[in-house]
Amino acid sequence: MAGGNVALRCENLSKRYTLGESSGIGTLAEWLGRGWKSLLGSASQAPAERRHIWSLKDVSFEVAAGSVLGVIGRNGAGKSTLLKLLSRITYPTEGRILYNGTIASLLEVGMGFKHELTGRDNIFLSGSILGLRSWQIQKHFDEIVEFAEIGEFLDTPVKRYSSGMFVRLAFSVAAHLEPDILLIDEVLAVGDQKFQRKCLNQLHEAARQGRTVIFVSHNMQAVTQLCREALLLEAGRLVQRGPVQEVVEGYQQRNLSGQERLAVCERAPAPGARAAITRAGLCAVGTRAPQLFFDILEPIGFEVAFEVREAMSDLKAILYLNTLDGVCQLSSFSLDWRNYTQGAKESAAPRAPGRYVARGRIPAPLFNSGTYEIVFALGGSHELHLDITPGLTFEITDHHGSFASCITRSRSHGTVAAPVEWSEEKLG
Amino acid sequence: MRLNSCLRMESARFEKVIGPRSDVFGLGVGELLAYRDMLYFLVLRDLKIRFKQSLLGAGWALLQPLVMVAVFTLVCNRGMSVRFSGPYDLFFLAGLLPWSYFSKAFSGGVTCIVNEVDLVKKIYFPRLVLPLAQIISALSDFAIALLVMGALMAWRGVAPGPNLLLLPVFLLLAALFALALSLWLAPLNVRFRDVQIVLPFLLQVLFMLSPVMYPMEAVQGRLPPALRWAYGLNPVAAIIEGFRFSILGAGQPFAAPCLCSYAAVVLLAMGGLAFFNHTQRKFADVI
Repeated sequence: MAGGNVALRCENLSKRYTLGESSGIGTLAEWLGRGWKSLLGSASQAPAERRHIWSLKDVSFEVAAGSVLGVIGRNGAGKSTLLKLLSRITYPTEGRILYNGTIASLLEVGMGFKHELTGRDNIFLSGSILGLRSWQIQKHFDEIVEFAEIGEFLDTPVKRYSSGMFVRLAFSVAAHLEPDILLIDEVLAVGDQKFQRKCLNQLHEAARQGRTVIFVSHNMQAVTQLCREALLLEAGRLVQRGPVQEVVEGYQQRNLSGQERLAVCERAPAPGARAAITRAGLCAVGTRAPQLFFDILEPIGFEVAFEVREAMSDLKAILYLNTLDGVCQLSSFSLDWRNYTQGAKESAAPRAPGRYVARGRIPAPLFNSGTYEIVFALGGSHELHLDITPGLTFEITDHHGSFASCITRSRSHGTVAAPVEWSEEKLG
Repeated sequence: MRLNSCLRMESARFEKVIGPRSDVFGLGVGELLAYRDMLYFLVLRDLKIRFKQSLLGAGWALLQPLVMVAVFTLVCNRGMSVRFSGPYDLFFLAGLLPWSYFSKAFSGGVTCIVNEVDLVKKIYFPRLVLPLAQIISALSDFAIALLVMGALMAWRGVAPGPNLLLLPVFLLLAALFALALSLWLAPLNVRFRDVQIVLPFLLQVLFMLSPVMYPMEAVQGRLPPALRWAYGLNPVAAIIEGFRFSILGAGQPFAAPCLCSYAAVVLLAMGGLAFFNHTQRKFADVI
């Protein structure tokens, strides 16, 4: 690596987990039973019962000191395992990690917090668990309190805190760690927008001070903002390493071609269900090709197939669009469009048993870039939900910067992206 | 040759290595020292939580030995007429002190890893901090019980002799034995929760086998010689004798079986440390 100043190197890092019975908690009797069986000579069966899974396999990379590296990949790609290995929560099955200095990890906020204790007590407790010496905590104490904006609640037990205050305090302690290498998981997805920005700044600051940061996230926006370089994991292997933009695009490409990611959710209806969704998914408008990434200017197409088992007087398909923290941004009923265009106020016509499909599109531009979740449901006249699908996550991207803030060139605030019309005139 | 030296330089650039194999005999003293503040704040946490939301707070630690002394004096001294020179309450409390400390430290130590699942799964720290914190925070109740002992002795007009100087040694032995057992059983408890289910039962048996409510000689006098020796090998018995010796000047903590049991405690602790160090690497995977 140029400059030769490597902070951390992974060599053929591999981690194997054992699935099934021997993976973990068992009772002593089971364990003794297994031992007894193997003593009796049926040992040949034992390995067959165990299934191994390589959660990480032959991953090698280097990180230059003072750089910020993003790690992206789908759920189960090995991101968390990598972080756990780097932070010594668990140890590699093969390979090794070489590093200089100290590593601190931030895999979750609020670690070691006790609800009965005051904010002050928790700052010291949590800080010391994160590896800070008490004089270090003392040194940063005022900054931590100020950063968390808890002020007068400092000596109140944290169980009386609002969830926002709790999260802010928890993150503030961690944000004042001073390791040489800082590992961060998804924790930025906490708190409100303002606080998130503060956290990002803090990380930028850490990098500026020469700390090495490894940042794992689902949020492409955050990764792109924070990192110059990224690596992409897939099924435990390192598949791409390079400038962040390229890797993010690689990730999106792979997801487009990948079958596994839930762009479409197919389900077998429950036996007793009166009506059930059999298939729901997102697609490009006018096609049926599943799609998970939409440009900010591109309408989002969707399709819901459902089966009605018994005649119902009033049945409608419903769509909810949520942010990842579960805040509903939009809900829409299948009747809405007709009522809107025809000015009618009618309820659904009686529906005969059979199979139906509903298609539609969410206009663009409407939502700001980011990751969202979409949930489909069937609503009856009395029951709110006869059936509801698991959430499908999808992403709205703004590669061309159509709605980026003209000042910072980064994502503008809010979840809505509307072409607001402005005009100006000189008055004198 | 040249390549070789090159490679050596390469690896010399890194100070630390995380690899698949554990260093069983590496005690990680440096790491433990770096995390001594965590130990301190964990102990402080246990104390604060303990006394914060209970009505009597420290009063419980005061009340428990008092009630125990009252009950056992009533039952054993009056009812079963255990023979002992001097007031039975002093005799009993001197034995209860190390027993209560040991059983509290021991049961805390065994369950400490499982009780901190979130921490163990989410963050690195020397795992040894957890059992150590239990051994130390159990001292708070011990200190209060010690005050009760002092008050009782003053009331009875019994003054401790120079033997009292040995008390810290026996206390240390009690702590070391609780730690040793925890180091062996806490990792087993991570894997098999049977351990914590059996624990109360185990403690009960150990309580009966240890000379808390009766003098050691009383039992040994009735046992055949071989069993007499075996009985003396129980480190808890030896430690209790040691406490009685230090506080009341009675008891024989330096009999041969007792000395053997002290050595066993040290060996058990060393073995436990190696076992704990080896198994702790899998805690997060198995817990």
